Amino acid sequence: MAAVFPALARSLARGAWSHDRGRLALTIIAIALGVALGAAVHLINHSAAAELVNAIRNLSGDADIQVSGARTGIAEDLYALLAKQPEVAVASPLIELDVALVRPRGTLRVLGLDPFRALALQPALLGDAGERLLDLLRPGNVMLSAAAARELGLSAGDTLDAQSGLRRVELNVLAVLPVNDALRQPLALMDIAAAQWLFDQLGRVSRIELRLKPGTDTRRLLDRLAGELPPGVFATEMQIAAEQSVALSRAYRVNLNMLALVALFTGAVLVFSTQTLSALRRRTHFALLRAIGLPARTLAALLLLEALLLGVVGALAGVGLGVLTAQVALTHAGGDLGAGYFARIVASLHIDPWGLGAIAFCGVLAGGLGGFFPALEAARASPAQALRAGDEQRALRRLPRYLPGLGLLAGAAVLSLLPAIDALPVFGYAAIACVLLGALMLMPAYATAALAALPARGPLPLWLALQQLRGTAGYASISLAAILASFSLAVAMLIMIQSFRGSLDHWLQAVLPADLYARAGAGASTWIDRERQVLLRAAEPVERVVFSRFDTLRLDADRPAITLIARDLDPRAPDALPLVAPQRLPVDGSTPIWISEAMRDLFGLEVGARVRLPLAGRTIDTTVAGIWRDYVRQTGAVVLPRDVYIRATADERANEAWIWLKPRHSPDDASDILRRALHVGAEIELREPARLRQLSLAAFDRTFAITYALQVAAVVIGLFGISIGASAQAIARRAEFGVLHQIGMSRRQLGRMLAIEGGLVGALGALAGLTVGAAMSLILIHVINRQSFHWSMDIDVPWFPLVALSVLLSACAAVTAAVSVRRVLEDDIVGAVKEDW
Amino acid sequence: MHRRQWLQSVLGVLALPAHAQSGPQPFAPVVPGHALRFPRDEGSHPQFRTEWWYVTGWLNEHRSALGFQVTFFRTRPHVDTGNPSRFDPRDILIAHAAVSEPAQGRLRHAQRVARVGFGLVDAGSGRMHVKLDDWRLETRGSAYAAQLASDALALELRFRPTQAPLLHGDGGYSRKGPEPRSASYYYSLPQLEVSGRVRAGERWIEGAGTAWLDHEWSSEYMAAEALGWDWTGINLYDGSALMAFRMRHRAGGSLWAAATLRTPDGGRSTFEPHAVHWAPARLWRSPRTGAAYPVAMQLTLGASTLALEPLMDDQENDTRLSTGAVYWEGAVRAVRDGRSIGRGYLELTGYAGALKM
Repeated sequence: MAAVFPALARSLARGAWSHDRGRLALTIIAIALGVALGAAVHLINHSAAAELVNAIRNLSGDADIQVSGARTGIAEDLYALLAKQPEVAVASPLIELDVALVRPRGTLRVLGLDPFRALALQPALLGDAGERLLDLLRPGNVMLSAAAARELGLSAGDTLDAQSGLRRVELNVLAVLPVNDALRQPLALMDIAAAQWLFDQLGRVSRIELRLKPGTDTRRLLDRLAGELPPGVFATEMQIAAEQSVALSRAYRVNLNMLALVALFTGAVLVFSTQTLSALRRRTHFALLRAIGLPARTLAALLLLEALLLGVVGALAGVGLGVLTAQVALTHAGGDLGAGYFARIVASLHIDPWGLGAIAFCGVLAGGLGGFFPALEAARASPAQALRAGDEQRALRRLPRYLPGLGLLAGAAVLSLLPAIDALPVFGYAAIACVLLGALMLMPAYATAALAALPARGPLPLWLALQQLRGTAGYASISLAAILASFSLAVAMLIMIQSFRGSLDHWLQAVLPADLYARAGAGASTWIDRERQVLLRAAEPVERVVFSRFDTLRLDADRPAITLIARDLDPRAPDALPLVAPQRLPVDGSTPIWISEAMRDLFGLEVGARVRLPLAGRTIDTTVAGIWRDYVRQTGAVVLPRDVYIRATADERANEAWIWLKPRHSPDDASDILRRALHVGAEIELREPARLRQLSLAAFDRTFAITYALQVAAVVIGLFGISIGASAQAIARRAEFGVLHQIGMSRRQLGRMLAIEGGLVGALGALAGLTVGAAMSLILIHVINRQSFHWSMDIDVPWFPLVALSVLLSACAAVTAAVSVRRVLEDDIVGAVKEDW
Repeated sequence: MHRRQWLQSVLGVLALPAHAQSGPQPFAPVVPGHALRFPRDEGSHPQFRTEWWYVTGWLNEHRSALGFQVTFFRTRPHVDTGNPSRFDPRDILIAHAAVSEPAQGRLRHAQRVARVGFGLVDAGSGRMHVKLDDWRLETRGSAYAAQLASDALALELRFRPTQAPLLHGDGGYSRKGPEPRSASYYYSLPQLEVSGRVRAGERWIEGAGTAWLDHEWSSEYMAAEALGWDWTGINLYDGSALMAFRMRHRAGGSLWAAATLRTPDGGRSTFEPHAVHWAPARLWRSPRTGAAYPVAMQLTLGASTLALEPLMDDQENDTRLSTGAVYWEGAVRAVRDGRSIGRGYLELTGYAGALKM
């Protein structure tokens, strides 16, 4: 038997592959496209994230531990304290600031360092420019990384104007540093003393990096430091600190990967429909093989092998294509896919063998799954029956019934109730998969029931079409599955995105209540000083001003920092806080705070909960008075009355001002008056709420552009599936068409009949897709988004796009069916009839 | 490699004439007639641009003899900028240490650079107290102590003075060139009794011997036309102490020279430039930098001549591999009439630079 096996495999393969070359190619392309999409998206995100982690790791060289706290920094005395610890070999203090630039316009990350300490950790930091180290110590001198010099169009000897507060600071480019691993990203280096002075950071450093003496028990030192460091300041292992920098984007990256897998999944459905129809076409071939003694199990194994082979070829081609796409995208467009997590990251391709392997495996799996059921069916068929004509339907009758499908749907309901694992909505994704699989399994039952319910009246082609569909509900259910797979996910995403966008728009209107918004500029180096706050309040067109100061706080060592918003507010009626539930002010006299939904979820806080907020090295007792919706800061945000903040920190700077104007002033003329009153030009940005809303929505659309692209890919692959199904059916039904033609039906009428059949199936598929998609959108909104990003949203259904897409889909199905039957009819119909006799 | 380059850039301050900088003279000038007082002048003089404390010595006898060198530099990189930051790099400290072991054949050395501040790095005034993190050179009671450790070496040494400070030049006013402003305040503590231990790599070596401490501060050390210098400090076995140096001219020959000799009875003689002659006796070429150093010298002071012979040839401080400011600094014996009469150190700078041209 063993010797016969290869020969049989060849014979099987010849039977299918010589006739179906185009379709096989399409199957491989479908899998390859799905895998390529997944691979490219994954590699781009992976490369950008790896680059970000490496940037931090390489910049700090041999550092073992990082000590950090709020964004505005920690007390510089901690430097001496840490450097004196017996376990510490090198302590390197750093100031890191995203500095707003006035000339050239932009922002620039500035790293203020003590070169002697930083070089002890990372000797390669300055490269050859190390000879100019003493010049670097001079205030105003900076060294630019090659990436920064390129981005800003500057070279050694040039000057640039940075913004500090509302003041301009001229910086000289001392040197452009050579490209090395430590300095691949856009960055400017200056002396820490100069950075403190020029950017008003006296007394503070952003972080301190430590290298420990050999043999130090890091864990024990961290435990000891945890007890000695002031509140809000944490020591973290360098590797963990570097990884925390990309933790923020993790949920986003996983979501995109899942979306890419959806495209792959539609590819699997395509394999399923192709393999099913291919197996049907080869039924006599199989029956002959069975009749001459080939065991059913061997036949099934061979067919499964064939499907897996398609999967392997497709997956390999897909990986290649994906790597290529990622490489091109990273070179020409950078590492950001629109969401801004990796904006301005210079990334080269980082191959992730495990990730790529997993995606390729999914491709092979898609091939295997797609081919499994057809193989099973072909093997089960009784050879004697299969050898007779018209047996195709009998085979399809055994397609899965409704019980397993219902079981999966019930499973999805349970899964969607489970919490996230490691901050990822693993069960949510599983629930979506269950809904889809369950719905797919229900398609035969759905096809039968829906077709039976349709009234059988009207002109002949319609009547015939309906009768035909009723008689071959199995075929119909295959087409339905293909449509469902591609369409339902598109529907789900459309509903989710529309809901999100609608909620965001609504939210923007709530959080932008004033007439005019003033911001000192981008970056952390800018603020509105106290004098100008007074001037602004007193300015003629101004009715009322609310100032806000932003910082970040770390509540524990393991979780990313939360955003602190210190705002002028009346606790009884805080402005522009879109509360999700009525607020309750503390009665014990403690400070009220308002936390975002993300903070509630991440820290398990509810209204009335006590929170000790670390501010300026001390803690203040606060009570959660309200919870508000925030679509900006996914690691959490807390609003604190600004007077409390100023008392605790003596920091009177403000980053933002909301300005209500007196009725007779328009925002335009008020802007001019305010600039004159404050004696500032472009250093202060004045914007109207409509403009801010527009900018925010544009950013939203950018974020979801890649999502739309992936959806289009899934729908296109789905349409491929429909056309394959249609043409395969047409070929399989050549004999039937021949008979109908013989008894007097014109080619035109036949075409119309097939178009109606296709259109009906398309419409039924669209209906199923809408229903299933709506269910999945609920899981997306309430489970996946909630667990990934911690924001709630109100459902908003995009009716018009959904209806339009449904109509388009049905039309597509009708047209592909009509086209494929025309192709068949152009062949020898009489010959087709003879084939059966 | 890169670390070595930046160290060079810091050391390069020494070779940079202060008057080459624009603007008014920001540092205190070195003038004749200023009386040095001890122990006050053992401490730091931050109003001057550069300053160093430099200890050299020999431990043990015969085959187990080894040389060591510990230097703490203080340098003020630029004029006060008015920056109120506590990180303001007003002063930079550089520490360098080396151990010469004939058995090893080349130097082991270690170095550190840091800005003064936060109580971590400091050159104290009023008494000798210099520290760079846990590396230090300080007064302990009536003696001094040096303590530093790195992967390559460690030194834990105590120095007990046996003689009064030896003032060079005119009561400590030591000229370095034809221009009077090119000068330093300079004294030595010769014939120090040293004891303690040295780690070369993993091996600890206990020992005792004699050492020499130089302390020198200046705002304008080298004349513009100077290329480098040759310097030696020798503890003679009879209790005498000899210091001699010359500044070499860029065009060749000596630009300036001076020497101080003190006999055990306290008799001190100084030598004018014309009375000090350095004659290379043997060149050694560094296989790493290609620089040729006169590692053996014939030193003539007035009518008397002595030979300086190195403990080993390769005592090049390859703190930098790329550019010209590599120098040789090593343990030497003083020999007269074929007989060893004392031990000390020889320093040769500006040789690798000249060769590069």
